[in-house]
Amino acid sequence: MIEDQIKGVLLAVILLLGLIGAAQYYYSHTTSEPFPELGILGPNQKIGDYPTNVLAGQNFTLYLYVGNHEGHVEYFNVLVKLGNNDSVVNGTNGMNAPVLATYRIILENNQTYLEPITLSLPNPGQNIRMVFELWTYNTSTNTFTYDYIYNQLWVNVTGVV
Amino acid sequence: MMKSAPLLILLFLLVSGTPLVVFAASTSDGAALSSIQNAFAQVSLAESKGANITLQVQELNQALQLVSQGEAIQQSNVTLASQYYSQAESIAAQVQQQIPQSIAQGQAAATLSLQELSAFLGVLALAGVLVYLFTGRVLWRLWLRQHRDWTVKRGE
Repeated sequence: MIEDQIKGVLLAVILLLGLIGAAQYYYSHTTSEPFPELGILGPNQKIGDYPTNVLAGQNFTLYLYVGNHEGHVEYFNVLVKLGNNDSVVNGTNGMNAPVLATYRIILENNQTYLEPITLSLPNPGQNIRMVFELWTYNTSTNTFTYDYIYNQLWVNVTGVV
Repeated sequence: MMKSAPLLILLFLLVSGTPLVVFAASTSDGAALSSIQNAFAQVSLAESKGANITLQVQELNQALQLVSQGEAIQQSNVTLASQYYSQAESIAAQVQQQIPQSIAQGQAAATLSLQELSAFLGVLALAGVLVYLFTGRVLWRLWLRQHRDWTVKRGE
């Protein structure tokens, strides 16, 4: 009967609206797959054109990209470390190498950061492994923890003649 | 007598509890970063309670920038670096002061949001009941109004 069919359609529409409203409320308060992002871009803000040969002590520019999709505010530290062929990036403590620079940033959920960073490598050397490690501040332990997220660049540093 | 003078001064300072390193401790990058970490922990807590923390995050990033600026000139201009660290600490303290109000506002907003959802679902439920009870009556009333000029004729 037409009356029952119309009634059924209207009730289905009402049920659907209710489900959409409830789902929207629920998903606005949860993050399904939390993750942070770390990226190093070349001087043209693109993935490429990275410097491979630099002069010792001479400044060069890269772009640091950090994204927060953890579902909540995060305090990140990006440590720039200098190693070599034999350096290993440990999953707990990062690379056991001297820290060249530290960049600190606090990001809200779904917020990103893209800023130029100017670096300079002090000593000449071949195949220098420049590692960018992402550390996250843990409010429970009041320490920065390393989540095994890093980027790296290989560069040759020549001395100034 | 003269040789024992520094020792006596040191002894006096130790006994009197005079803080020798107050200025240095409150104006180092470590102290500033520690303040920022404490403020961040509060901001994180506030966010988990529904607070809007956008302003606080901006301010803490400003504080972090001041620390970085201080670190950059630490070797060349200690006084200015200390000023930057002090400013960063002030900002962190300011952020911490804002937290209770932010939490209160966040909780109010979260309650309002839940109330809005409840009201929406309540209206939908009411609409469902009305549809179930009155669809037939309304439908046929509309049909009759639509066809009120119809006349009934005896079939041939």
